[in-house]
Amino acid sequence: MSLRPLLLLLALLTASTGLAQERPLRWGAASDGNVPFAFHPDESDALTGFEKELIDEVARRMGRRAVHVRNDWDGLIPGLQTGSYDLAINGIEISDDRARSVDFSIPYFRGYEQIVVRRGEAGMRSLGELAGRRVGTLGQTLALELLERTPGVTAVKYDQELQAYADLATGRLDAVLLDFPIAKYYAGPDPRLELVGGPVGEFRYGVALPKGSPLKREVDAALAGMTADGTLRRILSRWDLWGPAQAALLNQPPEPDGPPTGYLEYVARSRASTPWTEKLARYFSAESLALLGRGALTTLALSACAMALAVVLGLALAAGRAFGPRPLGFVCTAYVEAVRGTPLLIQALFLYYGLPEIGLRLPPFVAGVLALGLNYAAYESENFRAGLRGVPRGQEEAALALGLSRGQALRHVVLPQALRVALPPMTNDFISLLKDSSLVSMITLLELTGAYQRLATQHYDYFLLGAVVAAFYLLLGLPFVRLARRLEAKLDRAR
Amino acid sequence: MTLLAARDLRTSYGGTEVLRGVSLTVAAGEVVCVIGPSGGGKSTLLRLLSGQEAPTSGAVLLDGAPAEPVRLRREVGIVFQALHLFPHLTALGNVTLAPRVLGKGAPEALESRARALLERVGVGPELHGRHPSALSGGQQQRVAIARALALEPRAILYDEPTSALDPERTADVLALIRARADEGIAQLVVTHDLPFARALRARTAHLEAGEVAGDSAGLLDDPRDERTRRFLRARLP
Ligand SMILES: Nc1ncnc2c1ncn2[C@@H]1O[C@H](COP(=O)(O)OP(=O)(O)OP(=O)(O)O)[C@@H](O)[C@H]1O
Ligand SMILES: [Mg+2]
Repeated sequence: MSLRPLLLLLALLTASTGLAQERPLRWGAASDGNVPFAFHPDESDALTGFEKELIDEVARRMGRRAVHVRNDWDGLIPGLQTGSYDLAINGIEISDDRARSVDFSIPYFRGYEQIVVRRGEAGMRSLGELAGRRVGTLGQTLALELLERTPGVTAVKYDQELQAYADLATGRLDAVLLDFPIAKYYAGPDPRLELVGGPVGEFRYGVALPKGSPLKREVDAALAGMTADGTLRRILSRWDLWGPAQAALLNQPPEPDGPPTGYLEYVARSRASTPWTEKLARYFSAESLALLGRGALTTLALSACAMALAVVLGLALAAGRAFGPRPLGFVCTAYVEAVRGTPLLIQALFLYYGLPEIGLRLPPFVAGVLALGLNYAAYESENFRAGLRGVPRGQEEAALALGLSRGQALRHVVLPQALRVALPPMTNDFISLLKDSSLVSMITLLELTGAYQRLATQHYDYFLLGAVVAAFYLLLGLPFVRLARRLEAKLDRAR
Repeated sequence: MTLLAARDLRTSYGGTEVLRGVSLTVAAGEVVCVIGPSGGGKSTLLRLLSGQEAPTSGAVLLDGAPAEPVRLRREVGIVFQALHLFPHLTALGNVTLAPRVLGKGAPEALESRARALLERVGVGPELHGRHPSALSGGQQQRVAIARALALEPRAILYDEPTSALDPERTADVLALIRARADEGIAQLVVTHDLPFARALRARTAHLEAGEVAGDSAGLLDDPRDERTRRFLRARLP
């Protein structure tokens, strides 16, 4: 017997115990798109980017192990406040507004907004010249603020930088105003686009921490140390983001220290324009499929748990309305109307970001199951009610006349018939739920739609990947469509 | 000897009295027919006798002693006008449901008893596995009677047993009722159908406006009460 597996196991064990001794430093950041901050260069879970390298080094100096926690960019600050992670680092501009709700570290980057237009288009070289134009940008940014303050500009808000530049390239926008690092990475390598004009405005990026966080001192110390010994300069140089502005901010020599290998690797990857056959092959690579497969599994598990909750709670609600005392019936009706009358997305955001404010912090999966389950329970209760109403009074009377108790009559005569009426629409609801589960990608859950967004922003392709992911949803739903058909056919025969 | 009896039954719905002191008896093995105009209170009487409702005053007697609705529900079977067969169960399932739920024996024993019962009312084995929707009106009626017999009731009430049937099938119902009488079961048959009532050749009660206007073996041929005469006249061809 070879000793190698044993040795490997031993090595793994010591490695894992070594890791376990280091306390984690949980850092929140988006990872869909998000170049050059922290992004997935390929289908694996590996991250790269200048902030990723920066925070790894900060954590090392704090004697901790950096652990990435994925979130939407818009949700970064709320997630910080609910304690999903210790700090957020994601090109967050230090502003008075934000400083009211979070603490900031000392700045680690100084930059400005960059105008990007379609190559060759003239007359949009300054903020003033953008008047009368449609200009894309991201929400909650200095760029958006500047655009909104400039008379005559139509500012268009995007969630993903990639989508803003894509709309610019296809002519839906006249220009995009975004942070220079974003422009450099997304628009720079794109031959259809051009960076024009001088610096617009000025911002500093800082690490955001919860108000009063004891970690602030340590983070500041680590950043100061990295500045003083040139580590920060080396990282920014590697990503080709070192220039006079940084030099002035950090009081360092203006010339870069080392080749821009991070930038060059990125450009080489994104330049490689691939034919669609090769793209498809890449989407069906083991790694892509593994990511989509995991997403699909999450979608399925989420939907199944949510539906189970919806059915049980729906039955309870319907029973409360049909058989309960008046006040209970009223509460059940109010629940159904309230849930049906408000958007699922609001409910999900409320559960995930709202409840922690009253001390109830739910993991994303639980929040997702609850959001979908509580929502669909309202619809299932209506299905059950329709089912109960569909059973003629005579059925219960006949059962009672045979000596059955009310409970026995309900269980053996009324419910089985009500279920037959309710079952086909319930199966259809499950298929809708499967699709609605895509909404919970909003609460940091990487299900199928989340996987789609990540792959799409990584490959700059919403088109082919969209088709691939749609196929995944169809495949997931198909068994249930068939089940619904079979049930309906079977019930029709037993009518 | 009287098995089932109504003693001065009164009941009202929202202020209007529907039964105004109804008394009636049925002996073991006897068939009693109840006729009367629509709205006269016939179905209401059956609901009280089968324990589906309690009277406002008066009592239902079993073997001469007042019986509670719970007891009546177990000892008095009823065949509804609309049958109310359970559509989600087979013919066999309809018959076994009550004994099974009420724990009247092992499943296999209950099933073979139910099959025997179905055969007794003329439902062949090939029909036992069918759902009610796949049975004819006459077959459904037989299943309903078998279901009412499943708990071995001592009395059976029928509400308009011929109303949903072709005239030719009424002879079958007649035979079924006769057979039950031979088994010693007390039976009360409510009907609109005068030829059928005559064919029953049973003691007949006339229920009108919540009162018994007449109750005798010869009521149909020799009506004593003016109300009965008027009722019969209106229905003669
Ligand atoms: N649940 C109820 N609530 C109020 N009124 C009722 C109810 N059930 C019966 N009634 C009334 O009681 C009276 C007697 O009804 P019942 O059904 O006993 O008549 P019936 O003799 O069986 O008539 P039919 O021959 O049409 O079946 C009718 O006037 C009816 O409207
Ligand atoms: Mg009636």
